[in-house]
Amino acid sequence: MWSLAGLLVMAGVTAGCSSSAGSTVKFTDTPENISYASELRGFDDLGSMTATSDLVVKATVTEVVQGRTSGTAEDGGATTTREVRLRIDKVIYQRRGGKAPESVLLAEGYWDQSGTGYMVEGLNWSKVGDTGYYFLSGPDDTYTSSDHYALVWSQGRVVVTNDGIAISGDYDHEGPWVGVNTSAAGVATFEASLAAAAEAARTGKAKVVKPEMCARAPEMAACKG
Amino acid sequence: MSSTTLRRFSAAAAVAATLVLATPSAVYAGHGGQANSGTPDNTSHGVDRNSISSLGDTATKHGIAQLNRTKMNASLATSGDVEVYDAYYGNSGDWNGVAGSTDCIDSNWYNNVCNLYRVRFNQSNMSTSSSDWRVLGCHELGHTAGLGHRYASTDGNDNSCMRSGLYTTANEDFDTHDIDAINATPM
Repeated sequence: MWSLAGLLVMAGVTAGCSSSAGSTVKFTDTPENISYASELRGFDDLGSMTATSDLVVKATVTEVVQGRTSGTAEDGGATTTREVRLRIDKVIYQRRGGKAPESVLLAEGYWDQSGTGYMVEGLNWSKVGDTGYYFLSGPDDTYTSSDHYALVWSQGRVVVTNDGIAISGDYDHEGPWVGVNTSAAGVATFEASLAAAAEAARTGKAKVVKPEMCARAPEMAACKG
Repeated sequence: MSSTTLRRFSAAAAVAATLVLATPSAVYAGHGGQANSGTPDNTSHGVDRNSISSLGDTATKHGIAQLNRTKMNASLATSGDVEVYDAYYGNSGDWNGVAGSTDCIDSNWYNNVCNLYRVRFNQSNMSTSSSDWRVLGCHELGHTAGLGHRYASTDGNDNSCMRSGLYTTANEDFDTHDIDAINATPM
């Protein structure tokens, strides 16, 4: 007789698996565990989160890929970064000059060495076709290609749903999204809020915020830029 | 049960499992008993250090001391409930701007209980200040007791180590709310 728990475990493994070329590990298509992150950054307002981002875009997920694998048993086990390819539909803010990319790869969760998937904080795994607004940090210079990005903060992603705008991350009605209209009827107002924040960042009214710990460790990569 | 029925049930169960995982953190993280990384299976916590640095050791011991201010009975062990690591995990991908991570690597889905936590301190995104490491140790081991994050609205005096992004000498410890939350969590 199957137990409910047993069926749930089986479903997590069999509901759409994939594996990297030459590997026998099957990576799940849905996260089974959640990882809590202790972040260096937090933002009180949309302007500072925009100003601190390297790129703020409206984008659509076109692909899910298995990214870089790193780590050993000595440091907790190997993990494979899960990335989503974002087709950039609109550039809302770009911190530095140059041509904005047409698409980027965004880190969004990971798999452990057994193929078990993890979402980080409240960042549910996106699927192909999802559209949202992304506050991005990058490009990541540890890659040879210049299209790898990360969220500037776990609340730097909002997903467009049929009901409106869903704020990702550990959102508890504080911080930059307070007072921003996220209802389905307020999408235009929401975008106006983003545009206003972008303008404040461009004109210098909104400032880049560095992690407070940078005062004690300015050499950290998180303190650069 | 036919293979078609089994596939349909599996697909439905997968959706249900995703909703169970996704719904809590899509709305509120909550605090006591709602860390979404699962509550510990019991109040006894064996904490194993895996070749960690001296600062990582400081963090771990401080976290254990904080847990022992609650109904938890935490101690250093060679194996057990919490495996602690530290390394230069870098500042890429999901480690971007992240000082530490706690996840449950052996969970009981059915009742959201965690049998084994993994704590990783990211030396790439930490200073060499012992105070910062005490905050981190308190924070990550707080997650292993089922605590979620705190916010300014419920931590007006900024003295809880469960605040995200706050590293000061004033928030190295659990505050009264954190302790009460752990003590109120069924284990």
